[in-house]
Amino acid sequence: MRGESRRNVLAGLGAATIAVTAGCSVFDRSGEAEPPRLDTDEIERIVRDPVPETERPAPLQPDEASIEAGLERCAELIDAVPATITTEEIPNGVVREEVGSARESALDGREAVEDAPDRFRSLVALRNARADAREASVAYRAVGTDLHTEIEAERLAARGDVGARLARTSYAGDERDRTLLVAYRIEELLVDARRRMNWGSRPPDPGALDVGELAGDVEYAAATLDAVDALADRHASVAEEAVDFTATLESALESSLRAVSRADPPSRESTVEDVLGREPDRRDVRELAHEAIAPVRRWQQTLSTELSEGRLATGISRAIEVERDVRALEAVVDRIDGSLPEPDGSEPIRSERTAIVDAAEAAPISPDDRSLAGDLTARALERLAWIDRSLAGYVERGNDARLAREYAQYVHLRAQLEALPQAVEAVLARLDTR
Amino acid sequence: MPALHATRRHLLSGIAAGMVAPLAGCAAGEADDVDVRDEIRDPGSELPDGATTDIEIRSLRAPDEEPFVRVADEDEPEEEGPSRHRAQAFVLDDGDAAALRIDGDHDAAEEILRFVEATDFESASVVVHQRGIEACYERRVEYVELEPDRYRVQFCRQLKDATEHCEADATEIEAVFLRVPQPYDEEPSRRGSGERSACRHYGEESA
Repeated sequence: MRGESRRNVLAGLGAATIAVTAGCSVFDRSGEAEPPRLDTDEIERIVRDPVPETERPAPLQPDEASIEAGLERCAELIDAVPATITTEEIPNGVVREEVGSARESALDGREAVEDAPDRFRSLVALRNARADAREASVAYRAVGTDLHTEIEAERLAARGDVGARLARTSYAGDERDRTLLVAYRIEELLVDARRRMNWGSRPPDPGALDVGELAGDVEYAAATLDAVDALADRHASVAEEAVDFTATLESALESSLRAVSRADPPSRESTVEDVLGREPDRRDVRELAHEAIAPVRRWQQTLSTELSEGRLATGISRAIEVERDVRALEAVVDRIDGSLPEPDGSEPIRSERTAIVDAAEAAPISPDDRSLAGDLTARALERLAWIDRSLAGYVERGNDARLAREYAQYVHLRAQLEALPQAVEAVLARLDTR
Repeated sequence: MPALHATRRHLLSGIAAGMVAPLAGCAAGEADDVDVRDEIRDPGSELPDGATTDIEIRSLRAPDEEPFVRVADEDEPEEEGPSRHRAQAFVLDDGDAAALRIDGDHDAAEEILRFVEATDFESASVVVHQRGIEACYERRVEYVELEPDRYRVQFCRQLKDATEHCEADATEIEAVFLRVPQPYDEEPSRRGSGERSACRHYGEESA
């Protein structure tokens, strides 16, 4: 690696003043070298060796009663809508079909709850099943009846409940790693519900389907609140001598902010040229640079937001991610400055993919570990499966393709996985030193 | 995903802007009182520069897919009379208005013809749009953009009320008559129309 480039990554990009448009490339793409197209045989060769399916670790298993209560609620809502809706009940054919379709989705969702591999996943799946069921039942009831005011009031109340529950997240438990994972998943579920209720605009003259959708969002929030209460109750019941980690997490998060700040990683204003010292002349390198810089750029906002809003478990997870991504960026710059092979055939790409699997297998962190580190490992492997699906898509469709982007994604994911253990160690050390 | 999300996507594809005018209309062959609406509500502050909602609208629907409004066509011999069914046609003077024909048996036809003939072509024009629409949806006008040699209209579609009877897979033809405050000596050289799959609406959180 050229010293200049490493300095750029680690020690200051203060001179960078070129404005960056969020989400857009900052490259001049003229004259850029494109990799050759690979045929489907070559693409298939890259993903021929399957990787084991990975699921994020369940933090704990809630009581069976919480699943049964959710299924009962689901059944009650589904039963409120006839299996066959007549034209007398809903004269508008599109509305009739949509309500029937929502009911079908609820039935499928209920099946997914029953078929889930464990109670944690059943609990999570209940959110969509209940949302679909209420969407159908309220849309059905809203035909010829104005329910909008009533449901909108429910939405506002539920949004307040979700915010209040988020503020009450507990960081107490007898195992630190498990406690962090439980709290992280609780925060994640609540933020997801809040986002869903805030998402989108509300039509000024909502019809039955609009009101149904709104009710579905409210039910999703209600199911989420039930789920997090079930998780929190279960966690509290298994903790024999609970320790409150709140102050430790706050302190570690503040330390992480200071530590990352000292490293002075690329900021929102940093360009790829600032980091690499030049503009890439290969498309795959441009893709790779973008892939590696993008998650680092917003580190300060990411960590500060979690800290100021008090989502401490999410903050610690984000701190690990930032530490990982800064290290991954260093590794990527090293490889770009060194001799990153061109993706001119299946072999260089396959090799990167294999290295990801090897890194996952060699890592001291298993994706099954009930910890933030295990969760991050599992999410990395989910990302691998996602990239694989992109390649499989080319094969299924019989399309040749240039794999510059997918190659860049593999290279970056490898760097992330290889950096993860050190990142975990750095952040957890801040928890230990308090 | 919930089955109704297709509807949500429709809604969200129109970003916050404002209210739109439902097309005043009636289905051909039915007891078709023409719904008269002389203005549309102010659609808010996000109209494109130069766009206006200062228009009068009439519409007529027929339960088939063939256009049923004919306008004068200067390319055809006068003695053969107006015969062109056009997707977008301009009625620019009293002669054009007199030549307008509405095929079929529509109770509202006469009133619509009177609406067109009553236009003061010194200060306004009438533009006729004919296009298909799914039976369970209604077409609305968001705004028009008018210049001396330019005309553009922005339509949107919205699901009819759940209590209105319609078949999900049926399509109809709709003729929309727009009286716009822009006189034209001849058809503007720049003309067009757009249609959103969802009507724009206010997007602010209510609390």
